[in-house]
Amino acid sequence: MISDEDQSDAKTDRELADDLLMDAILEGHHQDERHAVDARVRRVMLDVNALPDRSGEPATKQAHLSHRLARRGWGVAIAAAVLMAAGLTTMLMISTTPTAVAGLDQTLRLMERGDLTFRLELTREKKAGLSAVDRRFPQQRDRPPRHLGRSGPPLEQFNGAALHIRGPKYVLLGDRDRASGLAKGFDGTTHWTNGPKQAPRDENPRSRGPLLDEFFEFTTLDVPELIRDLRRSYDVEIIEIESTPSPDGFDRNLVHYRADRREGTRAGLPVQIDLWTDADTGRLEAMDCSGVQLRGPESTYEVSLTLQSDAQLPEEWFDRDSHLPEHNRGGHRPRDLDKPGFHVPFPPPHRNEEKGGRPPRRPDRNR
Amino acid sequence: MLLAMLRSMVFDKSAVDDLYQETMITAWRTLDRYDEERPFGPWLRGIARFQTLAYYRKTKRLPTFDHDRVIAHIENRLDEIATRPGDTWDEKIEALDDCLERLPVDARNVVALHYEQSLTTEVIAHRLRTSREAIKKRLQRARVRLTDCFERKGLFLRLETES
Repeated sequence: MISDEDQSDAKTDRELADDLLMDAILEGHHQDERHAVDARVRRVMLDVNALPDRSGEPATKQAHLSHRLARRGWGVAIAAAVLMAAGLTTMLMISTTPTAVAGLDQTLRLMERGDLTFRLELTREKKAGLSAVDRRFPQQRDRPPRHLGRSGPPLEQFNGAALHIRGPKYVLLGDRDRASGLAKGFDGTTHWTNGPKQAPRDENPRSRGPLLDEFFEFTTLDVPELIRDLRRSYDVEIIEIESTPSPDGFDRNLVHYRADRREGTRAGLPVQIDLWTDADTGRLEAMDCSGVQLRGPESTYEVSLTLQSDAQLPEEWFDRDSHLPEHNRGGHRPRDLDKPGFHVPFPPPHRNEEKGGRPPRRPDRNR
Repeated sequence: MLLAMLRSMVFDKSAVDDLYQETMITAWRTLDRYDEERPFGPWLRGIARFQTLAYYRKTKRLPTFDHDRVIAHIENRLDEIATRPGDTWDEKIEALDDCLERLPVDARNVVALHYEQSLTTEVIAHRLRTSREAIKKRLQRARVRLTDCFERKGLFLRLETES
């Protein structure tokens, strides 16, 4: 800006206006680096977040407008501020870690408030060349495999399993009718495992039993904690806002985050995580984790979660007794399960496609 | 675009950021009053103008020029830029780099020292062993050339000379 002392010599108001504007344009052209914009947006968002919480309200005009504004490219900050305050997660073009991770705070808040059911898919990463872990952390290749020789159920049987989440609580169910009793969970205080042939038991998180013990390495079970880990251990960026058709005929926007594990961080965490959250609500819609070491560094998996339902689950759903095998169930059964018409959401493949939408587009990792 | 408007209206850099923030927060608080049938930019700039006037009143640093007329003209110019193709401000003023390239070397150098390296006119004058007034003149002439270039490239409408 032209300073007080450098007042322009322009003779007319028009000339002065042009001079002031060109001065402003030049200043912005050379000084609006991304970090400056980022800082500005963060300041606005901090203030917006200090406003009364509107995230519990139904879709607001703000939420609707935010999409229009974003499409018009109208000011990163107003779009970001509006999006954030309306309970949205995206910072649009802002891709630095602090800002991007801040967008996931709303995702975490939603996980504390309600129940989410995901379909879990496991894919062993191909041996062609180095695994994702080896490529990224070659120094770990010589480490003795911790789980080598351990027995356990084939992990592939959990392909298609249901993962129910309520804040820090979770339940992983191996099958729809729970006949096998293969289940693992955390009820808020105790980690528990139910096996098909043995009596249920509680577990101290640090003393692992033989059944499904590999899944303690499977950090993605505790999704909220994994998302918190993004701030500590990952470089996070927003890749893009993806538009996807939804059953009501309107386009739905998904914010695609990508997180790369930093060197020197805790081993066992996925090497790369892709997340998709609903731009309107911040709800986690899908997550892909690659380089997940379920059975030692020589055996890495890709783990995918796709949201199937946000239906409220029975109150006792996360208790061990609710998932005992048939022969061991006795009198334990969640009350709500006996109500007529109650349906426990178990993930069919690609529910979204059945409803006319489609699952979030998975990332092109070569990009 | 909003920043360009604020920068052109307010001398104090830190005040620009504060006003930008105030404008955004006010926009958020009053978004229910925004008529979706009307363009968003002018509505937001209206808030910025109001915030700027409040700032002037508060700091008692009223500009020496006819504020309303100058601001009206700046807003017209911004509306002209807004009609340019491109989604972002940078895309809309893409021609600026070309216009900068076409400046005479001495003007380009002074522009670079002042805007790119953020040197004051006084420091530039000292470095180039000339007077501060001469640097001010050079900068102003450069800005006039750039405005002309914008007009030639259609970013600004060419205005008739004021009588």
